[in-house]
Amino acid sequence: MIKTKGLVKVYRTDEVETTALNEVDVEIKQGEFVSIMGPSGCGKSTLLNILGLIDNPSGGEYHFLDHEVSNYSERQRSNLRKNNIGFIFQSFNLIDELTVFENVELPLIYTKVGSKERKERVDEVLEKMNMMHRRNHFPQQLSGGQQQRVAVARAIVNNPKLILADEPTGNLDSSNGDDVMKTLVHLNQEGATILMVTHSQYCAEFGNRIIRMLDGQVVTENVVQQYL
Amino acid sequence: MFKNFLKVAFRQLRKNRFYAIISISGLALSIGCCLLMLSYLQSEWSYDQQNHQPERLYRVVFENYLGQGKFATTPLPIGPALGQELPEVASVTRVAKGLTTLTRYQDKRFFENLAFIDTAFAEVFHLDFIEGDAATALATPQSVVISESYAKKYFGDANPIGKTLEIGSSGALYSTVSGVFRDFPQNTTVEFDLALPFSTFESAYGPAELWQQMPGNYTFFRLAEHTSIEVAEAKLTAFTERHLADQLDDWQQNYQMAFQPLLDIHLHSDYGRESSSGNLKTLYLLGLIALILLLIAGINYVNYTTARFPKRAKEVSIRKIIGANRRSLIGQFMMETVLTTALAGILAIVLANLFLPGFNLISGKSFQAADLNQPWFYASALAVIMLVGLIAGIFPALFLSGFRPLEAMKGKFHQLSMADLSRKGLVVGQFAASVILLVATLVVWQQMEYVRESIRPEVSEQVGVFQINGKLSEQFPILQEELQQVAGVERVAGGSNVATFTGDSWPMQLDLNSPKVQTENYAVQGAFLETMGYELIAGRSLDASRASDRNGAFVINETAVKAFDFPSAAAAVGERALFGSGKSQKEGQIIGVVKDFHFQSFHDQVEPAVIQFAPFDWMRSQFVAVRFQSDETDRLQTAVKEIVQTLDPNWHADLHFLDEQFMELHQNDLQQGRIFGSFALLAIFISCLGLLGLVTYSAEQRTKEIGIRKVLGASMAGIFRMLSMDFLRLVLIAFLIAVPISWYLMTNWLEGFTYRIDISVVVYLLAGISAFAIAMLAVSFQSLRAAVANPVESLRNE
Repeated sequence: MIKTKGLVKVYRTDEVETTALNEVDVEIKQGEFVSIMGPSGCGKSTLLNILGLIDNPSGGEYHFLDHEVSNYSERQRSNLRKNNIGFIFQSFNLIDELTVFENVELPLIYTKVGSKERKERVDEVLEKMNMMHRRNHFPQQLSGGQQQRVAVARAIVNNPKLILADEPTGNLDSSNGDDVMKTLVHLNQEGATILMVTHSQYCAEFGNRIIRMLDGQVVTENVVQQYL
Repeated sequence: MFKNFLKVAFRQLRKNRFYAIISISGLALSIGCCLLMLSYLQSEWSYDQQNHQPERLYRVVFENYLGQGKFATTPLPIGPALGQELPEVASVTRVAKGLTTLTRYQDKRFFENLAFIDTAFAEVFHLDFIEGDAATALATPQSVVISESYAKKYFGDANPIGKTLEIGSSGALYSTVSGVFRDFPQNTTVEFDLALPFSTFESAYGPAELWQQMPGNYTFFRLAEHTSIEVAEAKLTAFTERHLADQLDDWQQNYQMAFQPLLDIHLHSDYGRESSSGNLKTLYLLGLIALILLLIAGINYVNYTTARFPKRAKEVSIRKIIGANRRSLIGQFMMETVLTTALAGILAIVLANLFLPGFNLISGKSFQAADLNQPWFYASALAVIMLVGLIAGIFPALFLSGFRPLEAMKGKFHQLSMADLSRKGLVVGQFAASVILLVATLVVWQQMEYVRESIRPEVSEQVGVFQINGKLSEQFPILQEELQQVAGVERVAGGSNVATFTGDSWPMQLDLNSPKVQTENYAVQGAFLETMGYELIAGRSLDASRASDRNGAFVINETAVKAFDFPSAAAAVGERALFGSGKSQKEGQIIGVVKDFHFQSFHDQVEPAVIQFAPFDWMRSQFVAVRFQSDETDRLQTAVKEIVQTLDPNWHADLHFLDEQFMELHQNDLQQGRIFGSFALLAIFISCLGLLGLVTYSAEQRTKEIGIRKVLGASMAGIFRMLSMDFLRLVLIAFLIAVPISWYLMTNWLEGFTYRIDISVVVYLLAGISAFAIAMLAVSFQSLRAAVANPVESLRNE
């Protein structure tokens, strides 16, 4: 599903040039649950963003679903993204002005799903996330865990092939964090490919493979012993 | 998608209530004003359109009348002669408006400005008779036609037809109402409320035969079908030759007529003695001010939107990551703008109706709510709203939708410093416009004060003028005596003419072979020069005790000295001169020269003038001028009324103050002043709203910085200064930009006056200080709030 070769990302400001990714080769197969770990600034979020098609690499190749996408325009990436990828962020990134229902509905609006089907699918996924009773609330009226559940609902409402999670438990207490992780595992079992960036070894071990990064490079890859 | 846009737009407004109120109220105010301006423009552009085929209507004007320049008025015989001799002239009417005349029905007495018209008036112009018939109403000399509102004023609900109005006092005309017409619409050049047939005029003053006497008469005609005005114009030279070749040697140069389209009169006429008050400059000015107001409010909106860019940017990036494309984002932001402007538009329509009385006061119009609530009004409201929405929305929409999702999410906005800069630029623009309007207001006001001061004899004194009739004129010595007794009265004089009531122009020449100079005539009684405060610069004043003065002595003004080609004022004194022409000619001696005094608007050059004791028996005083201490106005009013009442119970004295009369002549300028003034206030108000919003935003943005600064020891005063200075600096820059622009504009405006002030530094100081003070007020409230806040609060917010 995902294959990169010699992926490079360089940030330039007027005086400094920072290499965030240095010749990164990763491959992720359909149905995998991969965790990316590493210290702050090692490039894991940069990698996630490039793999999630919200950023372009400075060099190297990136094959996503058999497309070479490293030189795609924002419009092309946007099209590929909205149909195939769901995002979960550490800070939830819900739109404050929209209700729970409307937040989750948004991806369906952008992929031009009809309103009746939208309602059904949003209700279905809210039910699944156990958020039905909060569907008309605004994000500010929810707890952190609830907000992240809404964010997860929004990420999966379009049935994406790939779910990208950037420290999904970073802003949550351990019990809410566990809930989110269990949900991800569940989604993985239903067939979604999941790529997650995390600081926590505990969370990382929910996945079936861990990629460790340091200074913009992949240092080790190991398979997690499944204990769930 | 649309529903989603609308929902978000509403919630955005609700969430940012403060900013929303600022931008919506600013927009509503300016759109409301814009709509009022549009109705004003509409009314001005549609002048005289109510007539049938208005493009076939023309006025006879003078390109050159006896070497005196361009005139809108014409001697009386021209109209009938044109009608008889030129087949191109289908019908012709004269409209002569003279002095106000006392008009009476039973116990109702009013001074009315009456018009004399020809019977063909209703063939030339549209006159809608409710009672009576256009063809016959003015057929007899004893008839009078009146407007609907005047019929009500004099006769209430009774049928006015057949009722008799007494016009004038001693030797009054008794005229029978023979027709009632619907009031003229506001936007018409020729209008009156009371009209008598010209036959009445001729039976009172004799047949109108003088081709070289210029009363306040206008001649209009309707061009015949199937011909062109050029054909008619081509015949003018032969026409003039036929009538004037034996009277006037230089008729070809000095008696040049032309035909002016009626539709050009209101806004484009630059003829002397113009009756129409239109002013194209005012129109452009209003249009410009409306645009400026829209711009200022639009700027507020753009500022309000860009100020929230960082917050909106996060939303934009989430939407983008989820799958929004640029077009849908532009759609969303445009929707927000259109919603804001639509709300503002609805409010604007309400405001326009609310402001109508105030606007009438400013503009001199008398619009009714019904004049506003017309299809064109709503169409233009919609157009303005769409336009503003589009213009104000496009920049934020393009800008916000252009974010790269990741950058926006992480709060990296390279473009934001640009937005910040342009925001400041816009504030500078707003305040520059406000200062320009302020300067304009002050300059107009100063010029008007200059006019007022110039015509007062002394600062502490006033000249009051009232009209008298023949009976009172005969009793002038008694009237003068009685008035002199009133405390506070300095001097009293009578005159056939006084300043502002001009129109008595006579030819004068040094001998029968020398060129004629058209001269404004003042046939006076008593110490006229001294009463009016006119200053002698050579020779002596008129002296009633000298027989020679009573019988042929002239005091002329400086302009007359130049017109007669005397080398100096002193050289004119002692010279002989001829006043009048033909049978009405009188010889006399120039005994004095008076400094030029104003008798017309300050826009016009002072014309030659002559002051003399009545040269002919029939020439009598029509006005009495009273010079008095200006703190005695009220008592004088009553005293004059009482004295006149005892001398002629049928007369009614209506005392006017000369400075007020002059102000009447400057209605247009005063109106411009009022327009500038009100819109300056409005512009400043809207600008301040914007400034308030920006300061609030800036304080919000800098909460953390302020907290850190305070923890590190910054004083409250320091924080206050820091926040305020940023904005006040902008106002200062705006001021510096406004100075040259307003100087250029107002110098230009003042050039319309022959007599004018120089723009003083004080005007700029005043405008600058007021703009600065008002801005300070707007800024200081929020700055103070930020400055006194507890630092922990601001840091905790992070």
